[in-house]
Amino acid sequence: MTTTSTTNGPDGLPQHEDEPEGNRRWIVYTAAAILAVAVGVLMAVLYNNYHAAQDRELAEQRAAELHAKFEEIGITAFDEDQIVAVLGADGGGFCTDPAALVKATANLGSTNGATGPGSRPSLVDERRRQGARFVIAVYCPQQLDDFDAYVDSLNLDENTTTPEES
Amino acid sequence: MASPTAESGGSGAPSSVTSESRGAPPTREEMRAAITARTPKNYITWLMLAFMITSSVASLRAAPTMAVYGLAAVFLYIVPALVFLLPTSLVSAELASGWSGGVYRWVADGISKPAGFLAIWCQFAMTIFYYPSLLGYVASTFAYVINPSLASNGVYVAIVIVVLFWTGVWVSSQGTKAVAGLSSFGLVIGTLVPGALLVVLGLVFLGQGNTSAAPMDASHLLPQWTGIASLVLIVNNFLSYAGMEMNAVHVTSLRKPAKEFPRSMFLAIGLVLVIFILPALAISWVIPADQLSLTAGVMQAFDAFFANFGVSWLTPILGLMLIAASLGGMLTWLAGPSKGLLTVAREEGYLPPFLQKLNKHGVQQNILVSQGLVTTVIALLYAFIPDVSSSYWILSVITTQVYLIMYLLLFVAAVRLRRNKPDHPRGYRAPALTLLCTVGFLASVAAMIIGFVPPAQFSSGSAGVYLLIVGGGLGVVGILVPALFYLLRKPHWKNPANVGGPEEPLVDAPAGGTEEA
Repeated sequence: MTTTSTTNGPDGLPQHEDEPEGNRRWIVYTAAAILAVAVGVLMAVLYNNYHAAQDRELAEQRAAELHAKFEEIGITAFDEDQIVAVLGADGGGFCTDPAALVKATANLGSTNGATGPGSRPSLVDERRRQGARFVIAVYCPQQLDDFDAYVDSLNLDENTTTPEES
Repeated sequence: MASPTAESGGSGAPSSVTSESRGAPPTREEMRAAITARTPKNYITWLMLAFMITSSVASLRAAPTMAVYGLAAVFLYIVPALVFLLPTSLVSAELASGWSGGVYRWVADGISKPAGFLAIWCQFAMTIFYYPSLLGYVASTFAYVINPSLASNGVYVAIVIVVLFWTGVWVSSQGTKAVAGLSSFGLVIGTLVPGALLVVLGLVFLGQGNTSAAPMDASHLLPQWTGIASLVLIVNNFLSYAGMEMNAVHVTSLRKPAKEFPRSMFLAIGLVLVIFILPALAISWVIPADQLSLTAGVMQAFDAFFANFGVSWLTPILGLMLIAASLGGMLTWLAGPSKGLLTVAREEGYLPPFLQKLNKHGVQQNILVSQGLVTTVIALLYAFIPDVSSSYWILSVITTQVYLIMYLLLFVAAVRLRRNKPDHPRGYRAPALTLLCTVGFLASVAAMIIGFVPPAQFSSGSAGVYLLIVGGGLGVVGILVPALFYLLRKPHWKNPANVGGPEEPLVDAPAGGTEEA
């Protein structure tokens, strides 16, 4: 505690003794490190469990379907294995529920490049919007109406969107 | 000129047996020493301060977003760096090397004390709205790794936000040194290491003979020009560098403030640019823009990146790292503006005595707690009301508009200080300061004007209504509330042992002080 004092400063007052404060700081550091390791282990275990529980066959089937949809419109950059790894069988972040979907699709691709308090909406990425719709159509078609309703609520015009060929 | 007492550290270490405890009012030196908490072991190094500055501003969070633009991402970061990063950073470096107290002191001395209060208020107030979005991102990152459906669970999001925020408040109340240590740790672990990993993997990808997914020739250096949309894209990116000045309030925690702060700032400028540009480029080398467009969040984009290398197991580790970086950045924001607000509260009595109270570490505990209560309410609304999404976006615009008021005042103050107090000692003099300030001022005005252009999230699209909403929010948060504090202040709120004098230059600490870093 900083209330103890054993030495005097130049003004004759007992001088602050900060050794206990330093000890406490190391307690904070140590606690933070232990917590980080514990949370890291927890995250790794739960991540593995979550992905292990995914239906591999369904994931491959849906990845193939999505791959075919993109080939139809001339996009061939996708590898089915990568789609399986990222979207799994359930579409991951795309198919949690409409609220999360709205946040997810609204957040990425429509903010500026700031990562601090300067973050503000920028342009909506048209490719992201179209791509998200494809993913939802394949992985969670029951949420397509919600997604379309959200998109309809947006004020999309040439001033608020990134063109497809930017 | 200052005497090498508390301000200069060393001999002026805070006394635990104060004159107040003896029944006498605290002396000026005691109050100042308590606030700056500059015991010999409480110095922070210039490197730590550079990391704090960087941590406040930059992380990898935007890399997947900007990677979509390929090589043009460089342009989208370099142009804002020239017109906003350099002016804010170099001007702050000069002012912090001459005056303690951060932006309040600069604007108070350069323009007026009420203007100084307005500046620090704007910096402080916008953070209240920043924390919920930052912690919402942390909650979604954690959920992505363990179970994506959690991200839509309001109870989960609320618990994460509230627990992490109040833990941050507690850590911040432990003093500047604790914040400096943990935020530096967060930057290294959560941004520099994974950023380097992304760049190395990107180089490996190219080194294996693969063609970059995004064209890297000169014809792709500029983003496609589409009129107003391009202006929105470029000008909004000015704000990527918002926050570079904030940690100047800790300048007196350095051993040699005048000499070391500019050094911290220069390193931070380099780090911020590297963190923003290189990882975004690395991702654009590996993942085609079309494929990036198919990711529903930052983590899924990184997942896609790692899947290219067959190292998806790195995803949860990266998630933890990104969380560490976000929390480290949050700590710096908790510790900085509130400390500046405390200074003005005590010196001028603009805030009630309750908010001027310090804890035993010399930290503005009651300001932090009061801020925390407001933040908690906003965070709970954010977590439990799904429809808050569009309101959230508008709120984020209002907060950045409020913050820009501070930058306008900062640039005006810097020019006036150079003109009116040319002989005031400064450890660093920014070259062509008037030009820098003019460019920075105009960039801030441009960002403010673009802030009134309705984004896609504003459903009605009516420019007039949007102008009224954003203008009204700006008026209430940025003008009305600080004006009320100013008008309702009481003479007895002013602390007799006010903190620092406006003319006082920074003085290095005596060489005898030990440094623990």
